[in-house]
Amino acid sequence: MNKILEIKNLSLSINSKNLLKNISLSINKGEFFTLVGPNGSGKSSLLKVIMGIISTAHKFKGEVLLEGKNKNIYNQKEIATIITYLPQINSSNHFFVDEFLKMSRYAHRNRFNSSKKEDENIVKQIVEVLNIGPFLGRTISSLSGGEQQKIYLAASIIQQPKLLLLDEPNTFLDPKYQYEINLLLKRINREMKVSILLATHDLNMALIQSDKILILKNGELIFNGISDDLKKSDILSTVFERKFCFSNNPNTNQIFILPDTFSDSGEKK
Amino acid sequence: MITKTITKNNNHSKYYMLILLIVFAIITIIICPFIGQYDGREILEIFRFPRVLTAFLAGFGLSLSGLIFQNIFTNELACPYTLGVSSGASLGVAFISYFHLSMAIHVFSLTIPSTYIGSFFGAMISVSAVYSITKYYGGFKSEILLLSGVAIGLFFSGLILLLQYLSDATSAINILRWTIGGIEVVGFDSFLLMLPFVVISFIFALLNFEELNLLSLGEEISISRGLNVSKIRIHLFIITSLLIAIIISECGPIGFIGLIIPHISRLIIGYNNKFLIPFSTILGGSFLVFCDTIARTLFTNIELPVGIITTIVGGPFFLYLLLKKK
Repeated sequence: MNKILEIKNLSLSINSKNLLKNISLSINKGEFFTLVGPNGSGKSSLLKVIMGIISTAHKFKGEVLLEGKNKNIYNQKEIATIITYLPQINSSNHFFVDEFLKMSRYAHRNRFNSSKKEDENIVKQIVEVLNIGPFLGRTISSLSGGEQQKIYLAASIIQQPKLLLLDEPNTFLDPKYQYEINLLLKRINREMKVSILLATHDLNMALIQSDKILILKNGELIFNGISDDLKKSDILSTVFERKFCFSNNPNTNQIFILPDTFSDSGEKK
Repeated sequence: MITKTITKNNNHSKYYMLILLIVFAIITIIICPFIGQYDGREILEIFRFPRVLTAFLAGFGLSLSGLIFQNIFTNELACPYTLGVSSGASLGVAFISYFHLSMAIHVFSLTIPSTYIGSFFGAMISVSAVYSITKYYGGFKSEILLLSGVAIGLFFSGLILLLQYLSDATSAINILRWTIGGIEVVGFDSFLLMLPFVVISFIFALLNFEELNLLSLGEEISISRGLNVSKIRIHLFIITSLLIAIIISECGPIGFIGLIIPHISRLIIGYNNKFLIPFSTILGGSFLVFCDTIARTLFTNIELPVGIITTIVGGPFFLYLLLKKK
């Protein structure tokens, strides 16, 4: 099965406020999607609805399909073997790193039939690949923000999902860790073939790293396409109410984007 | 390789600490009955040993319920006392006492006093109310959790006072005995009644240590890891309410054990519930035995209810935790 996630006409309203309006999209195996939009546009809500964190008890219309089947037919453990969600992390996690990483195998464990050996091997493998061995004997709360983000990312991968949903993993990180996390995500996507749907405010990351970009505004999906199409359209200016200019990095020839501070809608003239 | 070494080292020392604690608990249980004056073996057999064993079970259970609540609410300030669950359970007992509904209900070979049932419903009502309020208004924020717990606790305490005021002398004294919290048992009846409930709750918690670990990381991470959060929460609420109900029916709302003991245990043995559950329950049991022995022997002419001691110790400790959190 190639299609990991398919969303059909999804709408969500909480306390009579429409958070998501008639959203449809699909993500295939190995694809990297970024989800951008202003604050309050519904990015986190969309990820949470997909994961099942915002329950269907709220006003919820539409369908979420995982590997071609309606999500409601799966139990929570089965869902977690297909998708997982990495929220914006808080630092009040006092578990040891190795304990925390092992907890990520929960979805694959059965009380009466757990393969501890396999779990240990996967943890060991990811620890080596992501080079986080030195952190194992420390508690998560004792790590810096960037280190914590790395550990949470490793934990999500140890869970072996087919699709990883991430909510602004780069927020509050310094440029060094932003770069490291971006690189890790790229490796997870390219080498481990994990599909990614990432909500971010980092437009450059969206342009450079993703196969497709989704733009949300006021709960509506107003763009679903590749970076070249985005460059040609004027959609970013409409969404963020500011002009942007595109350019190319002379060293790598990679495209990048900057808010146009000298344009009419900018503050300086 | 590194993973294995570190985990093994950690776990080894935790097992040693657990064994040490078990030895300490056994010594406490054996020695404490002999502390204070006694004339003859009868006092030991009818009063002291049953009292020490009941205190151990009550401390064990209260500690367990505090720990479970702290995992569910992802908040270290949650315990039966601060969530108003103790008051709810006490109201249940007071209600049964006021309306003279005390009787024994026979379920198969078990004889269950009706106070257990009143207490259980009281506990369930208060825990459901606090849970709904905090979930709706603040996503388990400390201030909302504590304020709603205090508000519900005060409301139920008010109702208890009303029932007490309207009661005849016997019921009023009965209600008063519960609201202070103390272990004044004769013979092993209380101990034997509490034992199956405490053991079952303990086994249930221990079997679900992974689920409790995940719950302590919050709803979003738990669901993402594959935990059916609503189902496990309901199971834990029922089993904890039952546990609190039984302890409170027998010993009254002994305060703050569920707050102090899990906190100290975390500092010693860490946050993993696999070790934290046995450690904090055994420590809780020993601590209450210790406090009860102090309560029994502090004054020569009277015995204090142990609830007074735990509340005097627990109040400032609660304040310390609250200020530390700020």
